[in-house]
Amino acid sequence: MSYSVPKIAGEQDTIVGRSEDHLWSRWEVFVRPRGGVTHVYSESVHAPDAETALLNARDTYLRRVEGVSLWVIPEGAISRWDEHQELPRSAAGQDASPRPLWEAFIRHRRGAQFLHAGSIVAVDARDAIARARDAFLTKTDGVAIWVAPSASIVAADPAEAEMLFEPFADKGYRQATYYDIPEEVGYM
Amino acid sequence: MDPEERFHEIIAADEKVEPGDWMPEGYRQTLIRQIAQHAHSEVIGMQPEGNWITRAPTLKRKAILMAKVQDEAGHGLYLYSAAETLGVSRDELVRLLHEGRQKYSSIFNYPTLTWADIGAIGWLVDGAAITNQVALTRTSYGPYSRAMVRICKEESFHQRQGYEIMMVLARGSEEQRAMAQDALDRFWWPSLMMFGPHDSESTHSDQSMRWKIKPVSNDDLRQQFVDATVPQAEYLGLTIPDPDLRWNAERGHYDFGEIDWDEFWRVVKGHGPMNRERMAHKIEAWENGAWVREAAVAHAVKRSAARSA
Repeated sequence: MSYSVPKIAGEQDTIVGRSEDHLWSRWEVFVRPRGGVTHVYSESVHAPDAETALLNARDTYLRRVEGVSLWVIPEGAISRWDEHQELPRSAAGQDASPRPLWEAFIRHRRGAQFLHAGSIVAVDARDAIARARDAFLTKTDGVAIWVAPSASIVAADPAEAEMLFEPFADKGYRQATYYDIPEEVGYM
Repeated sequence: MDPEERFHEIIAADEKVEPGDWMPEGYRQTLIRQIAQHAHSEVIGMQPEGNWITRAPTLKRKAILMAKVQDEAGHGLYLYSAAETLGVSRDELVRLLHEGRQKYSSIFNYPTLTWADIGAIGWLVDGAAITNQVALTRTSYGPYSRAMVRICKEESFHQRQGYEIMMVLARGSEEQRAMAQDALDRFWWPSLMMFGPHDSESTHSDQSMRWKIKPVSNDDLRQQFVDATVPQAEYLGLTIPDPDLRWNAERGHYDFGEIDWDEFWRVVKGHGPMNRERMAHKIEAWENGAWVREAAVAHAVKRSAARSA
C-alpha cells in the first residue's frame, strides 16, 4: 500500500535527524535465488543474534519459494567503497602478515543490487577492496564495492535448507496465478 | 566532480541515487517522510484485515488472509530497511509514529464491518496501492525503487485474491451480493482519496516531481485507477457509488465526481472512524512485545558470554 498523507494547513514537517539506536542490531541479508548463480543483496533485518537474523531474513525476504541459500552479515563487519572515495591501494607484497579470506560484493551499476563476486585473500579491508577491484571489475564497470571477512558471514545450514525454504512450496495460494481472474477485467 | 553537481547529473540522467551519494537535505527529508509513511501504512494496514482472520469463512480463506497479512508486515520491513539507508533507525521511525509525528494512510482508519470488506480491500485498496507503487518503481532513490519492485511482485496476489472474493459474493445469494455492493459503497471513495489532494493543492508534489521521487502526479494516478476499475465493477455486476461516473470518449477516460474533501481532511486530522483505535492498538502491541525484544537480547548476550568463557 502507499500514497503520501498530505500536510494539514499550517502543519510543520517533522524534521528527522540521524539516528542509529537499535535494540536489535542490523544484519545485511544475501539470498541465492533458485536457479541463481550467486548471492544477491536483499537489504537488512534486525535481530539480537545470528540465528534469529537468519529466521527473520527467511520470513522477510523468502516468503515465496525463491531462495536456496541465505547469508547474514553483521552490519559492522562490512567495509564499503563507492565512486566518491579514492580507491585504496593494494597492500601487495608489503609484509608477510597472515592474510584472511574476504568475500567481495559489487554493485555494477546504479539501481542494481550488490552481487557476490567471489572470495579474495587480503591483509585488511582496504587491501580487500583494492584487490576486489582488480579481480572482479573492468575499468568501466562497478560503482560500489563491499567486502566482509569470510568468517563474519553466517550461512543457513544446508542441512536445514528443507526446514528453511521448503514450507513455502506447498502454499500455492501465495502466488498471483493461483486465482482465476477473467481476462476481460484487465491485468491485475 | 562536485557532489552536488553529480547529484543533479544523476537525477537528470534518470539514474538511481544510491545510499553513499551526496543528496540535498530536502531530498533526504522528503524520502524519509514518504518511505516512513509507506512503511507505517503497511504495518497499520494489518489491523483491518487481521480483524477477519479468526472469522474467515473457510480454512482456505483463513490461510490466504494470514499469508496476506504476513506480506504486509514484510512490506513494512522492506520499507523500514530502505529508510534506514538514509541514516535514520527503524526504532526512531516507530517512535515518531507512536508520538503522532509521522502518519500512515487514512484508508486504514475505516473499519472492516463484513467479510466482503476483505474482498473490497484487496480489490480496491490494494488496487489503488499497486497503481501508485508501479509508478514508484521508477522513483529516483535506488533502495526505495527496489523495495517497490519487490512489493509489486507480491501485491498482484493481494489484488487477485480480493477480486476473487468479490466474484464469489457477486455470484452468490442476494444477501451476499448486497454485502459486496455495500463494501464497494463504503470503500470506493476512501480508495480514491488514497491518491491524495488534487495536484493543484498538493504542497509536496512539485519538488518531489523535480527530484523524480514521485514520477506520476496524484490526479493522473487516480484517473488510471478509475479507468482500470470501472470495467472490473461492471463485470461483477456491482454499481460504483458515483452518479457522475461516465465514459468520456473525447478524453478517452472516465469522468468521475468530486471527492468529499471535508471527509478527507477530517480523517487526515485524526477524526476518522478508527484513528484512535488503530494507534492505541499499535502502541499497545509494541509495549506488550517489549519484554520479548529485551529477553531476546538478554538471551543472546548470555549465550555469547557462555561461548567465549
